[in-house]
Amino acid sequence: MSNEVQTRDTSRDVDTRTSGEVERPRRRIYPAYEVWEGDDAIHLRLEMPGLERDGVDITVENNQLTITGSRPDWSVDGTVLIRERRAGDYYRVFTLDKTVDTDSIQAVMKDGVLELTLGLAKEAKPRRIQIKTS
Amino acid sequence: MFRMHRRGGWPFNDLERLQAQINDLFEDDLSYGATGLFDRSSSPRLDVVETDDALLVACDIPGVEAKDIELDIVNNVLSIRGEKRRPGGDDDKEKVKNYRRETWYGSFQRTLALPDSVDPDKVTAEMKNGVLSVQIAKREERKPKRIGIKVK
Repeated sequence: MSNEVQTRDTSRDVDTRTSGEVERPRRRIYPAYEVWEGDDAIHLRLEMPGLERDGVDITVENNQLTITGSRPDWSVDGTVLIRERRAGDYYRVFTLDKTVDTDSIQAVMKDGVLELTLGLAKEAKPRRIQIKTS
Repeated sequence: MFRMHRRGGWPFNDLERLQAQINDLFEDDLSYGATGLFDRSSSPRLDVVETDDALLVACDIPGVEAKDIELDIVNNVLSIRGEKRRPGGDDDKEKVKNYRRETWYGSFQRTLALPDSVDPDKVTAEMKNGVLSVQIAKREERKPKRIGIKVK
């Protein structure tokens, strides 16, 4: 299992929970995600409803993949009868291991779902070694 | 659905806050679709706002295409039903190694009792960025009217 991506969610480590007394400036939403491995890439799919394509920010620093996006408040002039959806900032951090080629990350946003394709580094792909005949 | 209590003017503020915090703990990292500790069904979250002219509903259903949503109003109950399909089809998942999955696929349903003031024949719906927006116009006679009174 050399190609495994560590998906330990480090967002918990970063976000120090404040007590109920302190008003947090803006809520963090941890988008639900799924990760799977295809033939030569790792696929990461995050659900971030309400985000425009331009509203998503993806950064890779060292081996940390950070995905953020700001979800605008649904501001309508009227009486709120039910509020279950949450406004706030989408935020999720993933730790990538060395098998991911960080230069080959591609992202597609469709219907509120962000799909990232993380290409595997050459070393991580199975390589066939030819035997020379002398 | 603790939210109901929260708005209902429940007197025990501290308890209320504690309860909200516990629910938040569950909401934060568990899969979307769960609206609280005891609600684990695939019923998408929604907001409802009443304006002077209409009732506006917004519902989070990321990854669902408009053609897979059924929307109807029967006996003044709005029902949102649909199928959230796995992109690439179900066959794909046998071939791949899944590491972690918080998302769900399959059918979902949500119903909402509408107030009498709306007109079920005047509905518009739009799907954008994974959010379904439904607008149900109010009946003309039920719209609030401003009556000016001249003070002499």
